[in-house]
Amino acid sequence: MNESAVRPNQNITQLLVKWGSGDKAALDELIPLVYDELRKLAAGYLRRRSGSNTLQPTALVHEAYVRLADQSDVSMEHRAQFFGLAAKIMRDILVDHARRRLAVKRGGEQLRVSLSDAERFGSKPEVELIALDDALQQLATTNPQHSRVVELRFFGGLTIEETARVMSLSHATTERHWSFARAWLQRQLTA
Amino acid sequence: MVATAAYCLENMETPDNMQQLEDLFHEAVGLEAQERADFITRLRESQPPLASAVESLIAAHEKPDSPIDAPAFEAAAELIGDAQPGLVPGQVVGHYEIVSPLGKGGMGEVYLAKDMKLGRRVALKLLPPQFTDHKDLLRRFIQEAKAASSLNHPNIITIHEIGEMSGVHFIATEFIDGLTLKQRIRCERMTFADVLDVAIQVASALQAAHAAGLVHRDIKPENIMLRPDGYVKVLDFGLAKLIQRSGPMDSAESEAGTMLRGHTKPGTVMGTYDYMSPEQARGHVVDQRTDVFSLGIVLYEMASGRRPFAAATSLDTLVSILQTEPPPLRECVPETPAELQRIISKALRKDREERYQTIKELLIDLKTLNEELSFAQKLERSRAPRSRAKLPARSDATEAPTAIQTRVVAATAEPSALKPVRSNRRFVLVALAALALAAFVIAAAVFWPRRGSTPVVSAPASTMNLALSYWLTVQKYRDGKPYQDPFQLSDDINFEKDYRIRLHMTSADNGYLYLLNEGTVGVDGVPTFNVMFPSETANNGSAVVTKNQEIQIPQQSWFQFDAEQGTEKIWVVWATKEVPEMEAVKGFANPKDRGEITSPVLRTAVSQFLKSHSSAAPSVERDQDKKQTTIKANGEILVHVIKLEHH
Repeated sequence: MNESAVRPNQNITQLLVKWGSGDKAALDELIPLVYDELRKLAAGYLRRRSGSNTLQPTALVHEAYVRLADQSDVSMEHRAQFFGLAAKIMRDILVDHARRRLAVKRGGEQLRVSLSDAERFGSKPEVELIALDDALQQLATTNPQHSRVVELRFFGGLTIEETARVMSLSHATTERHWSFARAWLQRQLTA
Repeated sequence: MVATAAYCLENMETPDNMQQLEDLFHEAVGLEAQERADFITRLRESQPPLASAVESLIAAHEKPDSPIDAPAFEAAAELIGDAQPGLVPGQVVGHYEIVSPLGKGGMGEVYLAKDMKLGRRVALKLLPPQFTDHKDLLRRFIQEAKAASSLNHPNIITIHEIGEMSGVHFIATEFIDGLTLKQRIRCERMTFADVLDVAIQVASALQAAHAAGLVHRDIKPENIMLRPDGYVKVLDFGLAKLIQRSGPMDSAESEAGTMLRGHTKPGTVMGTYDYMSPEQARGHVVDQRTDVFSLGIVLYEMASGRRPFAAATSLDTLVSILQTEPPPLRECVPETPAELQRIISKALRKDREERYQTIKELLIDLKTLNEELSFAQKLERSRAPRSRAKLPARSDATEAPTAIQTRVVAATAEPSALKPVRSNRRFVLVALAALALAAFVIAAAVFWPRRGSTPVVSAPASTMNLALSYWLTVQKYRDGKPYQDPFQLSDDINFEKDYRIRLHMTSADNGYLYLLNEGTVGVDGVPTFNVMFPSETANNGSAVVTKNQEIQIPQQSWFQFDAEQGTEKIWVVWATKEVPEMEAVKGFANPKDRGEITSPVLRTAVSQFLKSHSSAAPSVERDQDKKQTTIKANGEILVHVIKLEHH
């Protein structure tokens, strides 16, 4: 076993630093780390659902951060970087999972979510999540920033303030983006 | 129709349009209702589609529940949570017929089922598909679960079968008609005896598993079943590992590949956070010591009803596990035995190097405490209500009291058979850190046999219910330095003044032990006494000596005689119950009083007690092979005086 296997903490902080200084290869290394962590956290959360623990909105991402990052590194920049990455990955995990599950329920047919799906399956979270993901992708074609704000807030559980920091936007702009994107998505999803 | 409208909107929403749409949207949002209506109306005159779009966005904006208002986790929970289809009574899985649901945990649903082949009841657990996707991990889980089951340990649940039916993996285990420890803890506070009983059984199970190289990794009250007949069963060996490693992603990822990548190998997410070890919380590689920590938490919770690290959020819990020392049990359960606190604290050390290194060490401490506790309880039951036996605690004290000063006086309560002692000599009990020299004489209370003599028995041993053995360790000193190795003695030699000694006591039975050094007679005609045992630093202030426990006095150092000749008298009181007169003076064994009973009333009471009880002299046997002396007597209290003659 190599050294990094038992000391992931140092690794991820270093990777965040590298990534922050423009090293794209660092991101390639980061993604699987954060992905694994979040995936496991999500699975762990599921197991605990019946218990007394309630998961707070930001808990998964915060937990992943606690586990992966060097706790002596209190740099807000690294936290923001990490949360930004985690939100994206969280989206992948959840949407991927929803697609798989829905596929299983429908006997393996390819997914194309439509209004009738919601009727067939009731308002299942799978359907909602996949529809949201589709809508976000659509929004991203014209308004990538808005889409990202939603990603950070919805999938990353970040506050407006945290989102603003991750995206280097002002609080007011972030709030405006959120408000518009929310309305736009709401309209798309209920249409 | 609605879908068509959406289609139109999509078509018109180019980046330019979107910017315009957003600007109009924000402008409209900022207006009062009437103004907004006018605004839309005006817009519709010039740009009808845009007006419709803004209107629909405003409508959406004003809807209270957007699907994105709650973060995705809420949906995710629902999403992944109800993976099981759910079985109904009468349904058949393999050769099992479902009788009733038993519960639903994160690791799948559990049913009471009937084995149609063997006619017995089983617990049937269905593993959620996301945990069984990965064939390698599943195979390893099956191996490990079966390995644990095949240990045939009474505290490990027996697995009958691990199988698959229509793609659903299930585990059939013995059905335990009892409570989970979680349910039990919720019911009412457990007695310390129950706490220890459960902990010992769990630790036994873990010891067997660890010896076979299996780490449980998810010890928590839900995984511990209590049978009505008192047996405790540990469930779900191996399951934690399966679940932490598998998941919905990348099913092609092999165990080897995972190890190479290095970051999923030290598996992280485990069962309930509340019972995680710090290394689990950090996602490091875990070993058997993680089970030690988790059992420590379970112990804490059993004793107090509280989870030491539980916090409002899972993040807080994790941080607490990593950083917070749990509050002492005595804060919420004042009667917690000190030894139990010590055991729990040692199991909960955050650095696993500082913890119990093996579950076996923990098990031994639990068993010892349990013996002490049940002994104390037995005594309590047999005693008059006036004096309650205290919960004993094994001593961790390292320092003996320094320089206890005593005086030797003429015998006041000696049996007539005693040789007269040289009187009024000073005896300095000096606590010394290391080896020392001494020469000594033991003037036993009853006889004064020559070395090598056969046992002197004054009554048939078979009728004696009290028996206590003692011996001395002597370290010679010459020119102020240790000289030769220390040696053991059962009885008499004349001690040289620079010999240093230790006294050792043990019994095959549980009992209460008190030792006093008699000093000079005071002005009131009553001798002074110095308490030698128990003390704050000897046996944690408890007189309780459990069977075969060896007491050494002083615990860490040596007694030293002073320069003057004389005979030290050390009174030994050995009883089946607490002796109120002795309990009353225990507290003088502190550094301030140096063991001296400064209260005249208590001194008199002690003197009278010794006088009245020493008239029934115990039998004294000297075993030259073992180099020890055994004193025996009938009844509830044995009183004996050891005399140490020195030049």
